[in-house]
Amino acid sequence: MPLFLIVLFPLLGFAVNGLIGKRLPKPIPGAIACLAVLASFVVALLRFFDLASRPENARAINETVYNWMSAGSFKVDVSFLFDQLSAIMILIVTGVGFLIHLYSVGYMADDHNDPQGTLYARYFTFLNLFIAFMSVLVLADNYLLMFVGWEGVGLCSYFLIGYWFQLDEAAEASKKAFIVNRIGDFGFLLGMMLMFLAVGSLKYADVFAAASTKLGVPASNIAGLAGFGGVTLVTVITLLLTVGATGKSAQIPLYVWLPDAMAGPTPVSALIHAATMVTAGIYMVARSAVLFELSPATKLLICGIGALTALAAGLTALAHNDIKKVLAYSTVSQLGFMFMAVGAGAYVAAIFHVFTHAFFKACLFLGAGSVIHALHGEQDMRKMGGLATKMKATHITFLLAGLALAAFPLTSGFFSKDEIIAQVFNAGSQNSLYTIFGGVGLLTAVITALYTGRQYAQVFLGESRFAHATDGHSAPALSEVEGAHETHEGQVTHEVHEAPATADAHGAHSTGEVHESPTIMTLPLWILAVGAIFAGYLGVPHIPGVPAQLHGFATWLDPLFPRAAGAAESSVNWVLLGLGVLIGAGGWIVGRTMGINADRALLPDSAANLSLDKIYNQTVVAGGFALTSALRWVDDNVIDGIVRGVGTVIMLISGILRLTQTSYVRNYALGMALGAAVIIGYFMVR
Amino acid sequence: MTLQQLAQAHNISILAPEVVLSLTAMAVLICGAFFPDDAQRRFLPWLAFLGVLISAISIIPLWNRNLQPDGGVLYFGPHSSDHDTAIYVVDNFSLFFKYLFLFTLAVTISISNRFLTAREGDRHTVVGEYYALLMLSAVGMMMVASARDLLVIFLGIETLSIALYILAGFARVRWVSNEAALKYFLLGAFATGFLLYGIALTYYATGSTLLSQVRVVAANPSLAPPGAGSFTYLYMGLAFILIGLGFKAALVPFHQWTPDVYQGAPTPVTAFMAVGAKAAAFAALLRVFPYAFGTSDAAVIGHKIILVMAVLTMTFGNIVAIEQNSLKRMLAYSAIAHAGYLLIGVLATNSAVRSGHNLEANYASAGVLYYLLAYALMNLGAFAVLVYLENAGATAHLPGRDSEETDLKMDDLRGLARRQPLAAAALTVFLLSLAGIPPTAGWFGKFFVFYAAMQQGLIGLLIVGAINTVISFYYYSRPIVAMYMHPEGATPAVDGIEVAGVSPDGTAIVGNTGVATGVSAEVLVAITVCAVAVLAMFALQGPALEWLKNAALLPGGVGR
Repeated sequence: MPLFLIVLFPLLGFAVNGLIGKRLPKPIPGAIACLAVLASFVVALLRFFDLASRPENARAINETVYNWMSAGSFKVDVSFLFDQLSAIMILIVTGVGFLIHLYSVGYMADDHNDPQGTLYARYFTFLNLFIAFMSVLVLADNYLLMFVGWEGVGLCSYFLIGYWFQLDEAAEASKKAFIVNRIGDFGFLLGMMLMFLAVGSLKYADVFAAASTKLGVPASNIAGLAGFGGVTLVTVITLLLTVGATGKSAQIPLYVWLPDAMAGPTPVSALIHAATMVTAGIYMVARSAVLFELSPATKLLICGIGALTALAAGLTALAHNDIKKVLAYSTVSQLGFMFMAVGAGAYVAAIFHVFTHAFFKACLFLGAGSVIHALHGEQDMRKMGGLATKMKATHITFLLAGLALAAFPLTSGFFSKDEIIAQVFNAGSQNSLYTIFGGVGLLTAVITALYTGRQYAQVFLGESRFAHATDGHSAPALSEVEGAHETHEGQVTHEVHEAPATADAHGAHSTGEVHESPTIMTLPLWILAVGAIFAGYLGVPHIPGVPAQLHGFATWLDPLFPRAAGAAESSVNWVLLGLGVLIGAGGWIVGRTMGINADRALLPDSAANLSLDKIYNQTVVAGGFALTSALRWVDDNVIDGIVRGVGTVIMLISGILRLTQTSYVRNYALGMALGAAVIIGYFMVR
Repeated sequence: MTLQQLAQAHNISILAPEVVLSLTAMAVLICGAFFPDDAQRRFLPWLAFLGVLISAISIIPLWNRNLQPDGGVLYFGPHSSDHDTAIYVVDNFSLFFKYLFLFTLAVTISISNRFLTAREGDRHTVVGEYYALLMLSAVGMMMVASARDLLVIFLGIETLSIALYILAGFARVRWVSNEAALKYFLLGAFATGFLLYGIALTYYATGSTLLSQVRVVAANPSLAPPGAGSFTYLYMGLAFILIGLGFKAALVPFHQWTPDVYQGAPTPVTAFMAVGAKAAAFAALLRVFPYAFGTSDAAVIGHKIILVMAVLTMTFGNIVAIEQNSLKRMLAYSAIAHAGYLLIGVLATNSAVRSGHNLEANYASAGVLYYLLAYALMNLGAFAVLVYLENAGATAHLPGRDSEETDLKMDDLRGLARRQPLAAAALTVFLLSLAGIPPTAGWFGKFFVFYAAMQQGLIGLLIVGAINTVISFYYYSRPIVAMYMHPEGATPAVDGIEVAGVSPDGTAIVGNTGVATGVSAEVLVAITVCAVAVLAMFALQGPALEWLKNAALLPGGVGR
């Protein structure tokens, strides 16, 4: 089974749905999209088993599909690399991707913002295209192809955030995501160009092989970079790559787009903005581990960015009441943990957290979607409560995934987060700053457990605060089958409170009765919840007596990464482990207690006002505006003056030359004759 | 010699694509005379399309035929063992062009239907003649691509031109169409005189019209047969031939007919002409200039002349295009400018051939072919979008417009993205490609010719090309801005162009003005195919270039 099939199947789904999807009746485009991703997953799984059966030193398979472009010494192949890392990533992308596709079929079945269903096929078209690009991103064997996937997923993210483009919020959010990501991409591009300049190739293997010899030199060796003095080239390159990673993985200072991106449909948030795309930055850094290991300064910076982001986003999550916003900030915070890990050189721990996070965060988002679905678009947690009895499947799966996010002992999140914090503390032996970052990590872990426990309790426990429509609609017997809700006009109005017109306003039903979502939505929830609990047992710490299979994840990935100097292997930090148990369990219980029947967030609104967004607006955006207006003056008065001048001259010439087109044949013939005379004359006189 | 002997001796089977197409043209013509109007309109396009398809299939076994010992060649007179004396050669170079012409033909057929049935076919039925002329013109183009003899080139060019003269005036009820036809014919006849005179002079100087012979003698004057004229005649011959071909390729200063004819001719014909005729002219130019004359002293002067023409053509085309308000006219000037970029590739090829860098020559020549392919796709696509909008009645019942006038103005595109997202998106792809912005075929096209120029040290030309590319961004972005950023203008244009305006069987819904409103599915298919191909040529650049390297000419002036 060639690797390109993994990309090809969703691409075919994209083509079919994109070309004729509009004409197909409702569930069919969804079914096509699901099948396409399932096929990719099967291929990925088969290839994974094949890879696992090989000896450890033969686990990097290169498959060239074709030579994409060649021009002189510049040669780029469309060629894929299947090794331990891309195998894990592709399984996450296609596996979780398939589950979310499946869930989407149920979720998008009746769309309040799109009653005619004209957008339905479009949704699955772009969801499939996303999977295709994401597969390219993780399977690429060179930076340029990775960049193609990188840009492609950004494009799909743009389309899907703005899926309900008639809503201003969604349109604005999609624009914001796109523009913020351009900044990051610019860094990535520059880094790539420098790499090519220094090494002459963009293939991972070539770049890594030449890393220590050609990239360890001072940056001033490259013309135009003289100002960098003695800073090594690899530091410049990795810093630029880091800019790219902060954009894609929503880290300070480029994290602002992710919370807004929740304006898209909830399954999109689950797939793109939690499980897969946003982890691309971490994947990229891990993939380039060879380069980052050569630059301790960049690593320290990354770890710092991660710690800061994790803490700040965690605090912001405490202050929010919107069920999706809390999850969004929690995602930013968890991505911060992963950043900390790669910054500390703990690549395996980072990827392990990507892996467990994909399960529990996707499950949480889908669970939130199920709740929103049931409450007809309500997203404010203060108006929820008491859903545990009404939505059993959603409740239990949300609980399990929430426990994992809170790092409750013996769930997957517990093992992965604990590993990260331990590794960051370990790195403290190189630079004491790492110890501080580790402390921040511990603090953030407490916060995480708090807001997660509180979210769970506020939504599912206590008494129901959801306002029913009381205008005497006789509630028809509700079937859980999609399409049972025939009337669209009997839309529920939330009389008691002014519900903001949320982007995710979903499902117009003729009754306010809360109901469990259909099986097609709960099935993925169950599968992900099981993963959220048990995925962690691939990465249990090296406690004496634990069978080797229980830390198979590390054994699998370890050979790929350079071992960070001084990283103590196989030792268990019992203190940290104990602290982890205390934090996970304690934080959860406290948060849960505080959340029951709570009518406000854990931090006051003023905290939300002081949130990152505000700080960001007042510093970066305001500074940007100031810079922009200064530049604009220059642009208007100097550059535009030149351009307009040139333009005017060209227009003038254009107007004059136009006069030669008299539309008289005799004049044209004369022109030809004159031209001919000049040419022949030149030939004669030479 | 019986026909059968002739066929055996001369390898007639290699003519299959041309023969199939000619026979189909005859069949279409005959059917046009006997079938009732309705039946013709329904089934003649399909018959024509079938012919194109079979012709294209018949090319497949001919690929690499020239490598076989019996050769893919035809001789004038007795069979010879020396391939160089063949007048007609079926090498990969010519087969590439035949594919290109057949694709052009297929697109033209698929966008012609409504123009024939709804707008111009109001008085007499001329459907059969229309398709037959298109196909015969394509046969002429194929002849040019395969010609290894100046006279065969001439025959091919005349065949394609005469059919085009008639086609340009096919919209008989519109005077602009008639004017276009007459202008094209008069000036074309003038240019033909130059070409033929050039051929005669070359024959006088070298004693042959065979390109291979011209090449031998031009490189080494002492090999000229007794009684041949002095070498001055060879120079003059080359000058006259360049003028004749320059007219067909619309190079400055022989370009003036282009805007008038492109604008006046029915849009599908414009598309066919802009792509097919220009590609044929470049096929001839590539065989004649770098290869037949390339090693002679005459080519040194020719190189300078073409260099000046390239600069003028690019600059003039781009600068005047800025001021255009009619989309067809803008595309006409853009087509002129693109001929200039193509000349950069031809010049680079010539330099490489002269200095004996065969690999670089192959690369440059493959670059020209890549550019031509990209040029064909993006122009066919852009014109197809125009046809699509015209069909939809985009210009009908606009104030101050003649109801017959179909010419689209820049303002007509205002707010098109809202009304017609698909057409707007496709047109955007084509315009981006024309401007040379990735990820499109046009970007790689420009890249290849510029890169080849850089390899050959033609830096000045490269800079002019780059500046011109920047200038062109202005007028290519204007329609995009109008479509996406401007609200609908004061002229309440085009309600008719909703997809909803098609009746279920795909026929036009005639509005109250009597102008057909609606779209035809086949135009949409053509647009989609072109747009996908423009993007695919970017994604598959490597394989495409490998394939084209097999098609590019080898030092002897024959492809593989």
